[in-house]
This record gives sequence, structure tokens and C-alpha cells, in this order.
Amino acid sequence: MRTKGKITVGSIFTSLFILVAVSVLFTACKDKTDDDGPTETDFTDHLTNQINEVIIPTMETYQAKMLDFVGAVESFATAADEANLANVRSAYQAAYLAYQAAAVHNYFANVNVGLIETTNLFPIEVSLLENLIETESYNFSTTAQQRANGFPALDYLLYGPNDVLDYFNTDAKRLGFLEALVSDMKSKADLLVSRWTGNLKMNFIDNGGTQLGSSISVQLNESLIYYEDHIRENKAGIPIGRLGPNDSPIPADATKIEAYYQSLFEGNEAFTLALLRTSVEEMEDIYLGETSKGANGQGYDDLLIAREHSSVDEDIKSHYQNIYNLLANRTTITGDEVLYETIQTLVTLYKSDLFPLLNVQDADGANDGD
Amino acid sequence: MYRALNKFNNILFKQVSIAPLVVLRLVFGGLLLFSTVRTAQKGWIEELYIDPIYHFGFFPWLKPLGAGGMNLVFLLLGLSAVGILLGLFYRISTLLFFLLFIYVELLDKTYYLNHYYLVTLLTFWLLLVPAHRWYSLDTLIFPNIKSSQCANWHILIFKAQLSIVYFFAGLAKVNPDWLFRAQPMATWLPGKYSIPVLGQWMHYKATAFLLSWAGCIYDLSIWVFLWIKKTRGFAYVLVLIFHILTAILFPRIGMFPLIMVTSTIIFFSPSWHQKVLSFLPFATNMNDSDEPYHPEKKWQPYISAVLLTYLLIQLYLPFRHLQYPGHLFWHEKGYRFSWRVMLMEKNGYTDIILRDPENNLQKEVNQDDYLTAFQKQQMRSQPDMIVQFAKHVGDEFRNEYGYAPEVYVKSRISLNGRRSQPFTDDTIDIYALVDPISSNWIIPLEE
Repeated sequence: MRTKGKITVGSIFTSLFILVAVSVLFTACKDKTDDDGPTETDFTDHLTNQINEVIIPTMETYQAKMLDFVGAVESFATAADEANLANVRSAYQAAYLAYQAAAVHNYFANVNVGLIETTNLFPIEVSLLENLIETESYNFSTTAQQRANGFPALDYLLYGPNDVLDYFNTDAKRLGFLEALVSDMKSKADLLVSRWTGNLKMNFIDNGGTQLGSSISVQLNESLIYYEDHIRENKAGIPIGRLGPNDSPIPADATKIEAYYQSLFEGNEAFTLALLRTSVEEMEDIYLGETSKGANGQGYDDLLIAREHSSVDEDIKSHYQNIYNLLANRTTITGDEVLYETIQTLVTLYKSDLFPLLNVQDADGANDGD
Repeated sequence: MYRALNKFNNILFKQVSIAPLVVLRLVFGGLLLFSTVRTAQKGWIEELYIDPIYHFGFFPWLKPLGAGGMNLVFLLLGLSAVGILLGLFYRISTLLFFLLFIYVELLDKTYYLNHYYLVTLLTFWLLLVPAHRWYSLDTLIFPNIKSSQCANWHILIFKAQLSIVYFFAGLAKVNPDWLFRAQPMATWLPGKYSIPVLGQWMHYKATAFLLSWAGCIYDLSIWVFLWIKKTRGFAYVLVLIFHILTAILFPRIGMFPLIMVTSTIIFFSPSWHQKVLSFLPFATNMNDSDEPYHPEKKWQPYISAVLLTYLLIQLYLPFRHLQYPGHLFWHEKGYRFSWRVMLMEKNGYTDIILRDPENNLQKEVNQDDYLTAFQKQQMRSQPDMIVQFAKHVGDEFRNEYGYAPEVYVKSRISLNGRRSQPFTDDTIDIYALVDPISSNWIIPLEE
């Protein structure tokens, strides 16, 4: 009896493990083809494409546009006339559009440089701005000046006054401010390029995987947070009236749109809408891994397809198209809430499909799990 | 029937060596101390209990005590753990630890962990057993409590509890996602590619299947082999392998492997534990001093009744979800307190929309104004937490404006590698619902 019991226990154990071994062999044979192409787990190709073809070219474009802009402002400073003003305005618009793409990459070097806080917080406080100019007490890196800085300040200076030439010609301090601001922005663009092309480049590629802190996790999470906070909220939600402080809903407010003074000057919001579109396009470029030359490099779409989730990929792509279509048919940011809802839906698609399917977490539980 | 009961009683109250209980006290006390120090050292007291603005309390009236209070709570937790370890004012120390630990655990559902629940239960039983009657400072202060023996149930209850944990953790794995889709392992493992040696296998689906099936079989059966003397040694080797492997693969599970690896030594024989004790400094030989333990007989029926009731509750809790229709992983009604460990990868996006009906304005609640990233992440797929938060935001509005807002929840969630689906009915005003948990605002999972 005793011996028999011993054998029984042992044999249960053995048979259980044989069962496991067999099921493993069975599945192993079936799934061996898994490890080619974009299912690679360190994502070296993916990250190389992102940094070389998406991130760095975007930063270099912004740097180049800022260089042009600085040149235009220098000419304007020597002669503040109609022709030079027109040049300044067009260089400003080109730089602002280039900025929209650069700002989406709100991680690593961009955060270190403090790009967004110093370059594009809107709406500005006009009285603060005028006071800074008057007292010449500006310092573009301080939080005190956040609401009188960057492109929104330029929007006011170049489009706000009734007679812009007169505005600059009557007070040299204003030209001084313009030159100082643009030169500060240019130096930040230079810093961005030098950081992204420096050690960071290799670190970015080597930081594989999808766990928290990996390049993929950081890029997806931080660009989406930028999308939520700056594209969905600042560019759309607040003017449309879908967001507000704490628990109180706020009504729509068209004065809170991006490039507000230009929209007043031109009598339309075409440029405001273009800024929004450019920023969404950069989100899509990250997703597609689209190169500066417009070629479709390895992106998150390929990672999804390799994991047999092409339906998610198609949904994401068609959703970007929805946003563009909506923007094309729209003349103002404010109006119905469809624009907001459509922008929002992309966040949902990312968070509820793209992230989990690629095993990218979006928060670090400061605790143990399960 | 009576005879069976009598036999049951005889088993429970048989005199056995106290050694396993004493070793458990030492090991578990040390673990509690380590865990408390670790929590403080990682800055979690501040991050989890002091900094957050809002807490998903299990009871609305239970609140954190603020910076001074919470630090004091953890200081007392640490001191009482030392008390347990040294057997110093043992009952008071254990009671204090037990109460404070429950308090901390009930403060926020966000931080619910099965192994904290296990710690609570084990501490409860440590409180009721005389684990301080040997090799403790109490025996120096009160020499007459010294005893080399204890009742059998003092040890059996821990074995039973650990068996329940394993068995139900295994039973929970018997589900199609786990067995036939190897989820969530197939989602998690590819990210572990950089682990030395094992990393190269992690992106094979076969690995996910192997680990899923092995985990399931292990949980379902290991406790049986720990009970059986002949297989115990081999079973404990498997315990070590299993929990070390999970610790390497999933470092986030924190203390759990350590708790299981240490507490399962209770299954070892009294002589093994006596040997362990004899290696310790100041140890006296147990066989030479034979002070038996004499509990009062009149308590025995009550103790039996308590033990039986407890076990019945423990057997009921993991099955209580059966009263709720639908997919348990989706609605999570009856999910907690059931030893469901690492079964889900649930992700998605949940928007809370606050509508002011009088002014016809609506907005997305900025959850960051209230919640930490971790709280947000935990809330979005757990309906009871969503309701709790929605009601809170609604209450705030009502307090400020004097009339009730409408609160809607718009949510898409993906479960275990499926595509996302709408999770909540966003046309239902949750704030007006009297009993949101039993209502149908959760849209059933479509397979």
C-alpha cells in the first residue's frame, strides 16, 4: 500500500510535467516563424528610423526656419518697412509651423531645453508683455515670463498693434525685444539639434524594449501627453469650451485660440487651423515612421501589422484622415464640438489599442503589482 | 456525525511541537519589518498616502492621516514588526500591526494587492496563536508562558491558508484566455527580452504557453505535494524555482515571491524546525524542556466554530463572482479577495464627462487635477472606482453650485490582447444612479 501510494504521487507529478512538455513542443513547432522582421524585441531598426528620419530632421527644419527668421528680423531692425515686415511675417509663419512638429517630440532633449514652456504658451498676457518691453526686464527662461514669450508674443507683436510699423518705429525697445526674443528662440533650436544629434542619439537607439523608460514607451507616452495637453486641450478643447478649471465647465472662448492676433488681422483662422494640422501631422509621422523625404520608414504601424493587428493600424490611419478632413472643412476652431471629439478619439485609440497591443504601459504604479 | 466532529476536534487540539510556529513568527516578523522599511525607503508613504489629493477608500469615511500621521503609522508598523520578530509584547505588537496594516490597506483601492491581503490574513492568525511561547523576549519577561508545544490548529491554519491561496490562484488560471491564448503572458513576456539567458526565449508564443500551463498546474497542485511528507522536499524546490522565476520575470510583484517562499516552510516537519531553532543564538534544546501547552478545554468548540466559519468564508469569496452575470475580468464584480493574480492586461481610456444641465455646458474632467497617474490607470478599467470618482466629482460640483450635475463615462478598454471595446454606456448619467454597480451601465464584453 505504501509503495503504491508513493508511485501514485510520483506518477501524477511526472505525468503533469510530461503534459506540459508535450504542449510546449506542440506550440513551439507551430509558432517558430515568429521572430523575423519587426517582431524583433530590441527595436533597433525602429528606433534608428525614428531618431534619424523623424526626430532629427524635424529639429533641423525648425533650426533652419529659426535661422531664416533671425535673418528677417535683422533686416527689419535696420529698416522697419512694409517689405521687411512682410518678410518677417512669412519667416515667422514658417518657423511657427516648423515648431509645431518639433514640439510634439516633448521628451528627452525637448524637455531639457524647456521648449514648450518658453515657446508656445497661449494666450499671452498683453499687459505683462508691454511691461516687460517697457522696463526691458525680460528674461526668456523664467516662468514669470511664460505668458509673454515665444510665438504667442510674436503673434501679438507682428499682428496685434493697429499699425505694426508705427508700433516698432516709435519705440526702439520694441525692436530690441523682438530681436532678443527671436535670438533666444534660435539658440534653443540650436541646442535642440545639438542635443538630439549628440550622445542622446545612440542612447535613444540603445534604449530598447517597451517597458517604462524605454525609448518607445517614452516617445509614445510623452507625445501622446503633448497631444492631450497641447493639441486636444489648448488648441481645441479650451476655445471650444470642453475643458475648464477643476469642476466647472467653461463656455467657449474664441480669444483663446492659437495665433489669435493674426486671425483678427487676417479675418480668418486659416493659420490657426494650419498650426493644428501640422502638429497632428507630426503625430502621424511618428506613428508611420515617415521620413523627412516622405518615405514610409519603419514605424508603429509596422509593429502593429507584424503582430497581426492591421485592423488597428487601419483604424488609426483612417482616424488621422478624419481629423484632416474635418480641419479642411472648417473655417474656425470654435463651433461645434465634433472637432474636439474627433481629436479626442485618437487618444482613446492609442490608449486602448495601440499601447496594450504593443505592451506599452502609460503609468508607473509607484507600488508593487498584483 | 458526532464522531466525525470529535475526530476533527482531536486533530485540531492535538499537542504538537511549537517549533514551526516559532520559525514562522521569526521569518514573517522579519519580512513585515523588511516590507515596512522598504515602503518607507522607496518613498511610498509620501507618494501613495500623503501626496495624492483623492483616495479611493474602501470606506468613504476612512482617510489618510496626513504627513505626520502616516509617518507615525508606518513607524508603529515597523516597531510592531520588531515586536513580532523578537516576540516582545507579542499580542500587543501583532494586534497593533494587524490594525494599522488593515487601516493602510483600506485607504485606497488603487494599491490593493493580493499579497497584502494575504499578509492581513496571516497576521490575523498570528495574533491568535501563541507563537511567542518559545524563543522570544516575552518568555524572559513572563517565564511561565514558555511552552515547547502548541495545539495542532495553530499550525494547520497557516497550512490551510497557504493551500487556499495556491489552489484558488490555480483555479483562476483555468480560463480560456490563460490556457488557450496564453494571455496575458503572451503580452508581457516579449518585453522581457533583456533578461540574461532566459531573455532569448521570451518572444516565442511557446514560452508564454509553457509558463501559463506550468503556472496553472503548479498552483493547482503544489500545495498537495507540500502536505505530503514524501514529496515535500521536491515540492519546496519547485516553490523556490517558481517564485524566483516570477521574481525575475515580474519584478513589479515585489514582496509576493518572498512571502510565499518563506511562509511555505511551515509545511516542513517539527524536527526540521527544531533543528533550525537549535542553530540560532541563545537557543535552548527543545527536547530537554518540556513545558506542555494547556489551553482551556471549554474554548475548544468556539475555536472549532471560528476555524470552520473562516474556512467557509475563504472558500466562498473566490466563488462569489458567480452571482454576477457577464465576464468577470470585464466587470470585475467579485474580483478582489479571491487570489486572482496576474490574470489580466487591461488597458484603455476612460473619460469622465461632467455636464452642467442648467447652462448646457459640458467638459472632460481633468483627472490629473485629482488623481495620480497610477490612480488614473487603476481607475479606468475598474467600475467601482469609476463610480466612486464620478460621484466625488459630481458632489464637488453640487456643493459649489447647489444643483446636481450629470456625469457620463465614456470608456474603451482592451482586455488580454483583444481589440478595445466600449466599456461603459455613455448615455447613462452615473451621478443619478442609485446603485451603479448592479445596473447595466457596463456594456458586456463581446468575444
